[in-house]
Amino acid sequence: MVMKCPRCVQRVHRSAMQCPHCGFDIADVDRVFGEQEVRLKCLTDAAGVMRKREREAAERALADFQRKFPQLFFAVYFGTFRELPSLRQFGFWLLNRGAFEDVDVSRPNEGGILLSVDVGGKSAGISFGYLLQPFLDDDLTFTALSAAHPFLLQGHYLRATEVVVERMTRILKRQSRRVRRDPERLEAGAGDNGEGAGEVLERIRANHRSRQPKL
Amino acid sequence: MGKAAISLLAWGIVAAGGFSQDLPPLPKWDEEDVEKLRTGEIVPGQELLREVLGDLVPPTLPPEVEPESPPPEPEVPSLEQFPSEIDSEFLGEYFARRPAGFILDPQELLSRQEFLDRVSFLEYHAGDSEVDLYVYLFDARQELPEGVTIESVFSQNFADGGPTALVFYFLGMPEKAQMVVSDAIRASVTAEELQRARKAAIQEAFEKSDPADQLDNFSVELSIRLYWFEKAMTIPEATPATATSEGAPSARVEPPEPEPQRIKPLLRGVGILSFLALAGGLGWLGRLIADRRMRYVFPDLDGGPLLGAPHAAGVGAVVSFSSSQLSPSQQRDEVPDYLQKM
Repeated sequence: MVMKCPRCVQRVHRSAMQCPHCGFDIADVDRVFGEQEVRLKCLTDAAGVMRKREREAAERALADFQRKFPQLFFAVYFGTFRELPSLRQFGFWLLNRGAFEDVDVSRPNEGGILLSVDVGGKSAGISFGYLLQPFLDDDLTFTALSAAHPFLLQGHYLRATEVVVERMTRILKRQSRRVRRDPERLEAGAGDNGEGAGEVLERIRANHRSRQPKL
Repeated sequence: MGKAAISLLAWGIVAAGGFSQDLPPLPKWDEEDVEKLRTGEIVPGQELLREVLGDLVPPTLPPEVEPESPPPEPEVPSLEQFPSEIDSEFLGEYFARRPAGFILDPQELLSRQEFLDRVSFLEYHAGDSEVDLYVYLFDARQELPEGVTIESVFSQNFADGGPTALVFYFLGMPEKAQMVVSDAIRASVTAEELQRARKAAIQEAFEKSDPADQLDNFSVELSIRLYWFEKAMTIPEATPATATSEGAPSARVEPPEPEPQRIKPLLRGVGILSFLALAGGLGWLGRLIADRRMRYVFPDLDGGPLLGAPHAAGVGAVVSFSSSQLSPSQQRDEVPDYLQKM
């Protein structure tokens, strides 16, 4: 999977501490949004676009997602930003500095997916943690956003949230099955982090054995 | 100008009065002319006008022609004048034997062509349906002879045939029509349905005013109804119509037992289909349950830190939803931020 800089959207190496193209790193967004942790919930409606019932329905959808993916969580942030440099950078910052109160500690932010919606600026973006980096990219997340686009246009934010979660669930299910069937393929993609092929495979299978719940 | 003309006319009248004493005496009417004048043979001034107008005036006015009185209409006997009894010479043909054709009209109430049309239709019906339809035609006011009923005629003449419907139709009065059907039909069709069929045929007949057309409508509607009765009933190989001692058919013919050879493959097919449906449903349910219980995990590859981020550096898509005219692809944000706001 290709790594991209949140600011210049150029490809960067997976271990780069700064973007070689624009010099971006997390300190840039910390200066804008703050470097302290922010406490929030998986569903944060700072823009106030959802009714109580809609919030409850959205929380149920997020809980369903967590049930299916024991390592992951899904967070949604509705806000209205006036001086936001970019939604992409905001998502990058929030997923690193956010402390999600209603997420179990066994699910670190590495397994998080964040849907950020700028209600005033009318744009939406998706960010994700390191755990999902080999399995998601710009195009896959675009399919989920594009499915929710009609609902975003009409201001049906609950339905838009449900659609994004549903699409992301589908994508991640497929990716999970794929990696279970063909771990060598993943290994080929992850080979440049210094690990040997055997080590990657061993860790993947060990992970499956330890985390696969009994059916 | 107008005053001068009036003065001249007045002078002329006065002058004429002055000369009148010199004129010969006026002729007098003799008695004969007066009579001709009264009868119109002489028109006063006709000769003078002839000289002025020439041929425009006929020599004598045509005698006034009295309008011819319309020919007296043939006296149409009212319904009350029709005999209510059937002439005894027709009784044998009506009730003694089974008719040779599907319509019986010994009194020739229909014209030849009308009769042939009805026969043609009823023969077509008989060829197309298992249920034959016989129609006896009577005049509107005619009554059945004492002791004769449609049931007795049916049991006497039609009891040993196949599924049959017999109708006594009174030409010009469709509402008097009577109908009886054989036991094979009564076994599968209720009396209410039979009544409904008769009433529907009568109603259809009233759509027309001509008695022959009424009969036409009646028989067509009844034919349709009999077709549906035929569909509803199970026709045995031979359906003897049984009758009670009173003459009315009463014993119901039980439908024959279905052949086991036909039932078996049918049951087997239904069983297989049921089994497949059940298996499919269970499979779907099992898959649904399994899917709900299924947990999807990912290998932890220890990615990062990237760009100094401790937890996440995954950059997904950003889409604007500011325009409903543009597609999501056209509103996809892939431009570097420093070219936009920063």
